[in-house]
Amino acid sequence: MSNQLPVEYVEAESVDAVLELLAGDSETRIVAGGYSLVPRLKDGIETPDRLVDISGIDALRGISRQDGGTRIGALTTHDRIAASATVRDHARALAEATDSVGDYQAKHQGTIGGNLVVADPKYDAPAAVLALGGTIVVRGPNGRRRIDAEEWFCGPDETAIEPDELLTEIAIPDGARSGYIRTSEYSGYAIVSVAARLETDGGLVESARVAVNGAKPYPIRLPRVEETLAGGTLDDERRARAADAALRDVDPGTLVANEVADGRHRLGLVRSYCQQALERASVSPAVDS
Amino acid sequence: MSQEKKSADSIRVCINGERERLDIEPGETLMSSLRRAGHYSVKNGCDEGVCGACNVILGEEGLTRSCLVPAASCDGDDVMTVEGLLDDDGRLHPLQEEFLDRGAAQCGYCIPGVLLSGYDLLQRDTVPTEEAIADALSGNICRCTGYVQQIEAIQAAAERLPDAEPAAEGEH
Ligand SMILES: Cc1cc2nc3c(=O)[nH]c(=O)nc-3n(C[C@@H](O)[C@@H](O)[C@H](O)COP(=O)(O)OP(=O)(O)OC[C@H]3O[C@@H](n4cnc5c(N)ncnc54)[C@H](O)[C@@H]3O)c2cc1C
Ligand code: FES
Ligand code: FES
Repeated sequence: MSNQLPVEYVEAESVDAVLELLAGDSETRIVAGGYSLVPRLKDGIETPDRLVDISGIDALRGISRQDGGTRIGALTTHDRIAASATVRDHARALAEATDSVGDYQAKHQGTIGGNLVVADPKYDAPAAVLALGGTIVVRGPNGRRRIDAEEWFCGPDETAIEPDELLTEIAIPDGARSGYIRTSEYSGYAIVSVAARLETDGGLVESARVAVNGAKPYPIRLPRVEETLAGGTLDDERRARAADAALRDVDPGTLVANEVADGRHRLGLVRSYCQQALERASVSPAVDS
Repeated sequence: MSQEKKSADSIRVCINGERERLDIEPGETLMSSLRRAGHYSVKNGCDEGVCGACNVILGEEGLTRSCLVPAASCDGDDVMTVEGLLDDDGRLHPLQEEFLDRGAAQCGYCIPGVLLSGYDLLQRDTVPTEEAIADALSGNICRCTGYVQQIEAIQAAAERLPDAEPAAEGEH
């Protein structure tokens, strides 16, 4: 039962120290809260030689306002984000997403950084960050990279981070209404989650971003839904048409299917959560940019 | 197994107020190390972070699952297990009494973890609603009781605790 984790364990005290430890060593893995990684190590899905614990690096924690947006440090936990008035006021969908994390300890120990690096279809933050147009900031041997959420979530079990990079923060731009909704499976994870961000002017939708997690193996935007909304007024009829368009955005051939929910069930959830996320975003307070 | 650069082979911790040196094997979790040292109230229910039977209250982190924590990360930390609920004279905590009185434990396997979740909640919220209690137990799996008596027991314990006044709401 012992020896399930790598033999070597290092506590890093600074970002530079992490980068040094990662440099040229693909067998070193970062651990933050450990709530995603440790189960994977125990299952033998990953078998690194060394863990670098970043949880003591306070510079990676916290929420602040920056350049007309909200900046959230990689180590900030779901509960902190959910409880933050700044996030609730400026990036509501993310507050709602982090608040939905269905397991008490995972909510209090799990970090936004770990959540976005793994970006499992069951996770809550990815759809919200994608819909909100977030930017993920990483540091590596060649300095800083700012990666759009769209490029970040790039494939099944894959995000745009390199093994020698550290996610330091995410940045969410201001200026929209937004909302998030998900279903829970028995263990508290999401089956399907949808987040919507609406840029409005008076009663008109100027632009919309809608994202879903749990349909495909990684979070995606729903372009036909977004087109249906853009330029129109926000009413029940429009929201229903937009939600119908989701059925054309998701290729039935690539739907996630497992013991929790098959593809058809997920597709039904995508449509109905699309509508609900749009309702939430419609009634959420507008944020001035 | 390579022995080079092996991490420390023991850590100092303070378990329920008693200083202790815990042997750790390389690559071991806190749960495993605690159990080898005889702290058997820390249960290994699932060994993968799902059931909450291995809950401890750990230093600044607070309530966590010891099966997900590298033992090597705990040097210098305070650890509370369910035994830490007893008072100095070894008397049961109101939570434990209510669990007994209300039949909130059946096989008992989940109980140390559930009690620590309940205790952690009462530290934050002295007048918890039923919903808040259910939320606090969302990380605990109990296969016997159906949770109803556990929720009632936690609520009853909250009423008995000295500072169960309406707490100032809103600060997080
Ligand atoms: C019982 C249970 C229930 C859960 N329920 C939910 C739920 O309802 N919703 C949900 O969204 N999630 C849920 N989770 C998943 C939870 O683990 C994540 O939400 C959490 O945010 C992961 O963060 P962490 O800090 O624990 O990551 P870790 O486990 O520490 O790390 C995960 C991965 O990310 C990498 N990593 C971490 N931080 C960084 C960084 N800053 N830079 C580069 N790489 C990094 C690590 O190397 C590792 O590969 C649950 C987990 C458990 C065990
Ligand atoms: S044994 Fe740790 S959560 Fe189940
Ligand atoms: S009392 Fe048996 S698992 Fe809870």
